[in-house]
Amino acid sequence: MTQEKMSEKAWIVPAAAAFIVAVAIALYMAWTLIVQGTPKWEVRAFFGSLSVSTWDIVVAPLWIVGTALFFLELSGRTLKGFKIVKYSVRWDSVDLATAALCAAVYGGGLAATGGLTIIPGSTWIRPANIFATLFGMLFGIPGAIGIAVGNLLADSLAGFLGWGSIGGGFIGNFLLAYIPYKLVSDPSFKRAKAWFEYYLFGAIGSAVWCAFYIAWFLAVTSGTLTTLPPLVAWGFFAPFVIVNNAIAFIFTPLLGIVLYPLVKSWGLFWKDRITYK
Amino acid sequence: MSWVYGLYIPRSTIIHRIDARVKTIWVAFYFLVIAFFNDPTVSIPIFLSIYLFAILGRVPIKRLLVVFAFFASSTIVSFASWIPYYGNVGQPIGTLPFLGWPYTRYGILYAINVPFRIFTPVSAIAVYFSTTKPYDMFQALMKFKLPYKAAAIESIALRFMPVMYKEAIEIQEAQMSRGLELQKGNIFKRIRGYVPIFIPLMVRMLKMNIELAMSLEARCFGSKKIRTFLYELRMKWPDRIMLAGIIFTFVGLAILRYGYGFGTLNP
Repeated sequence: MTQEKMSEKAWIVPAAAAFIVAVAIALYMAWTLIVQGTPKWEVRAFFGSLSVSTWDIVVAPLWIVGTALFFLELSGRTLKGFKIVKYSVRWDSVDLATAALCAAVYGGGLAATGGLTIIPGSTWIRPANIFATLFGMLFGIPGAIGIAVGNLLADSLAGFLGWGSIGGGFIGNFLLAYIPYKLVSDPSFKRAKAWFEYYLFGAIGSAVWCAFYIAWFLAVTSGTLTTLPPLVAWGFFAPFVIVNNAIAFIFTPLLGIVLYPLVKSWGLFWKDRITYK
Repeated sequence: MSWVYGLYIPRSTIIHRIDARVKTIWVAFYFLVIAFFNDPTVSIPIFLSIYLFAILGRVPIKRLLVVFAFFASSTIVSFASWIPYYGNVGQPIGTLPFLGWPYTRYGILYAINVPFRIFTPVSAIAVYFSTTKPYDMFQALMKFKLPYKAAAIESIALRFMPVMYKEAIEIQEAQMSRGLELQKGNIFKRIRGYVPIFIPLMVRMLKMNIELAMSLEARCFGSKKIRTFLYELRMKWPDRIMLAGIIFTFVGLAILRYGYGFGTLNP
């Protein structure tokens, strides 16, 4: 047995565990929400058990790091391992078309379900979130930028545009695509390691980071720029966003398996289009 | 869903003829100004002033219905969250039946104000999209020093959103005619049901991606660093008057708010 096959076998158990944990979290959150209803939802009660100021302090580093990563990427630098390296996205007609069409598909998909409101003026049921991690893994930075722009356009069309869309939603959605782009090594999902990485970082990690990123901004600017009370931002908004994302993300690998070969063969896969300096 | 036929509604009105840069500043004005005030007696006239522009621009009422569709639910959520939140701010004037929460004048007025703060930017952007050509919007964003590739992403995405939406509907109808069930089952089954729609949609998107890239290349996209336009935006005197009006109103409201405390609720 070759070393590669042995290492592949070693990843099967962690991958299965990550998959079970992600599905269990999504199922548990969705099921308890349906059975218990919003006011008695135990996940909401858990989020409400910590004080607003505790959440604000604990989550602040996530907001700062998320924002720093966004601007780092815009400046033409990226994290490779633990080092900051210069890289270049071509931003030619192909990258531009990719970003624009990712925005169109994501924005159109989100706006189409804009009527299924969860918190008026803040969020709604979003099955199109299934695209967020997928576009990040397949198209890299153009895909992540497309997701951020698409969310902004969907907010405008579905009646949710506000300061929260700019200060929280834009980079929050960018992170949804960015985290799997950086941390999932194989979007073809042929290796068990990719499943492990996806469900741990892509599904759970990005869902939680995005929810916390936006909720922190809403809580901190509550009353000045945004309109949700901090308690609602942490107690309702954050768990709703997590469950919304987590359910959609479970199905993303199904799309990845089918679409990766096409994306790769048409020369659109991000690893084929990026150069490190 | 009127936007699926395109966001811009061609008409010959004074609002349509206003320079896209001025209209962009007009949207920013509402974003900023509505955040100044928490007194509904000020926020409501600001909100309603958008509808004056909507009437002048002959924006169809259906386009603005998205705002009113959510208004009732937004008001309920606002009352349910802000009244208890400010239950101790100011003099309690009663308790809510069944819940027993005290409520104050401050809490009620604040809760009334919140939906107007939510829907003012939304209404402004709806009027903006309906009365501004995508080509002019693109140019206006560039004039505000947004890199032209970033402006192009935004305007191409806006152009293609209705196209992708129509593609998705066609694929959905085709799959449903083959027996796909989207209306039955729990939330997992319903989301899983979208996978046979999303895969052909993505394949279509990839094909469009290549076609769009080729058409951009054919028009020498990116060959020169400076982007030029066949029809340049030019400020005329009505644009200058409107711009002066926006700046004057903004400065006036800012002075009233931060100099004299106008439009703020006191407990």
